[in-house]
Amino acid sequence: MTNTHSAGASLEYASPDEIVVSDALKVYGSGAGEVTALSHVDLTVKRGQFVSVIGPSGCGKSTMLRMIAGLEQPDSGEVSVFGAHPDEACAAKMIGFVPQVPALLPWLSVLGNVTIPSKVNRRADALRRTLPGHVARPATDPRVLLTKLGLGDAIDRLPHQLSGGMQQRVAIARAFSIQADVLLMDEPFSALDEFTREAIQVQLLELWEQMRTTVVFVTHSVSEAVVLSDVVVVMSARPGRIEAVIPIDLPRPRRQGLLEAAAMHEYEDLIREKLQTAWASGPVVR
Amino acid sequence: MTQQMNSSVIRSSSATRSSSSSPTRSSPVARSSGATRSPWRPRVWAPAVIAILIAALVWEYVATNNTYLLPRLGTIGQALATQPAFFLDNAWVTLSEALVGLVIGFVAAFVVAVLVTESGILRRAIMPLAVVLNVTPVVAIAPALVVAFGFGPAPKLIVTALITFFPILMNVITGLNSVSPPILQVFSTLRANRFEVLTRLRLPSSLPYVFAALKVVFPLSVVGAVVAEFSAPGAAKGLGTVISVASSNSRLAVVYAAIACLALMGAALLLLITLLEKRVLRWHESQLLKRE
Ligand SMILES: Nc1ncnc2c1ncn2[C@@H]1O[C@H](COP(=O)(O)OP(=O)(O)O)[C@@H](O)[C@H]1O
Ligand SMILES: [Mg+2]
Repeated sequence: MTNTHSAGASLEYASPDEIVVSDALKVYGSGAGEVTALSHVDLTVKRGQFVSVIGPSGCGKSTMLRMIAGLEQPDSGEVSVFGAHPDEACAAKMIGFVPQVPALLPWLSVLGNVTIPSKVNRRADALRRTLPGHVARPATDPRVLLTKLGLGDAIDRLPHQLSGGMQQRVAIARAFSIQADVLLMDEPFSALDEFTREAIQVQLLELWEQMRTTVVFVTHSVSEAVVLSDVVVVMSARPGRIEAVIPIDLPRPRRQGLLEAAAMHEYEDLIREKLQTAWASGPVVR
Repeated sequence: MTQQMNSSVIRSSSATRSSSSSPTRSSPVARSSGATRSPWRPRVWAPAVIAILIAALVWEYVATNNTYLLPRLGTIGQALATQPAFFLDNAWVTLSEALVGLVIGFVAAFVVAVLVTESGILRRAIMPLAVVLNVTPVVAIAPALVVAFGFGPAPKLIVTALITFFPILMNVITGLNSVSPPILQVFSTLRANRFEVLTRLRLPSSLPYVFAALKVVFPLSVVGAVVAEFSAPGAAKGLGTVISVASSNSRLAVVYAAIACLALMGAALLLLITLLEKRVLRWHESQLLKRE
């Protein structure tokens, strides 16, 4: 755990078709205020998978996502994104990040907000072609993307003219717009009301089923996790660790009504049970 | 020191931007049509007009009973009417000093704000100096500047630039740092470089703060120009010179006519900046509130 490999050395063995977090440790603060946000975290996400991460508040979901996004470094352990170091993956614009709030630029139109990623770091495409995990992907027209998300009429509007749900869809379109290899979403729907939330889930599912972009999706909602995901990762707190990895073996497309309610509930119960265990196990001394 | 710097940031509706407000502000509000809320309804303009009338009446009352204290409004009007070219001429001199000084102060403050935001070393080097400058009454330097630079425009421009520098500096620094963390995270995962973050995020985010500063600093620039003119009386033109010469000759009507010109000038500048703000900040919360 204490031996930290240099990034370059470990990446020789990292898989070009997976996102791998191996034995990651993250500690915030020091002395009495020390918090072990993540401990012995291992996670593998295969290319094209939709993976949800669920767990109690403070169990390190956001921390893990930020580590994959290259926004934070693990204190020990490794993170690789399709064979590349997260820094390299960012430099190649392989990562689409969707934060909890829409975080749009209020002075740009919807279209301007969706195209802004293509206007910064213009050397990324050249770099991307040199990386081992490179997969050619046709460019998507941002207008088509917005239309698919039901924002066709809102292209020229300013963010303040949109509802919260529409703003979050713009943020999702922005992440899709760079043909990212992976979308990292941190509770993107948590600020929305139930009805809006379900409507956006359906649109995200439809878009994802066409694009099949790899997604790591942090959520608080068990049913959301089951509806969307190929795999649900249950985490527990203090220290943050992975409690269970549950494959969701339900057919796609998973539109409303197409899913067998019974099968869904079975998975939901299973996840709730794991969450209970995670809760009950409480502070664990390792 | 941080405390002091924060407290000198100009607070106004446009300067308090809440990055956390976006998720709670949900569905688009149906904007009321402009016709029903015309600014020409009596209840909009009547209070101001009545207040002005009362002030004028009080003025007239005092002026009629104490001629040595205040000239009557009619006399002031007469002073303006008999030599309009004289006042226009001098007003133009003061206005151009104020504006040129303001532009110098603005550009300097903006450049320093960007440097200080981008570099920790420069911040630690420059900010103490800026704070010392702020606590020094710039007005007190004016006579020394006249000694050093003579009766030309130089001391007036320097005083105006100095007096406007600090408010702009503090507001632009706050504005450049007002980008919300989630937006910075998105730009960080795209590995946008510092220049891109500056031009695409920080500068546009600073605009509401720039306008808040301009509203304070436009009238200040006129103050700077007039004070500098006081220090070099007689030699050059300008409303400050007019006031100090007329005062020493006890020509009160001329003094107040010049002051009226200054007040009008300030009001016109404020109106200008507010109109410009409305156009430029269409996207900003402060403007939305006003429209609703
Ligand atoms: N920047 C930080 N500084 C100090 N502690 C942090 C920081 N970020 C997260 N933590 C702590 O790490 C733990 C995990 O946080 P987080 O990843 O945000 O959890 P989650 O997203 O699952 O709610 C929490 O105990 C939190 O207080
Ligand atoms: Mg979180």
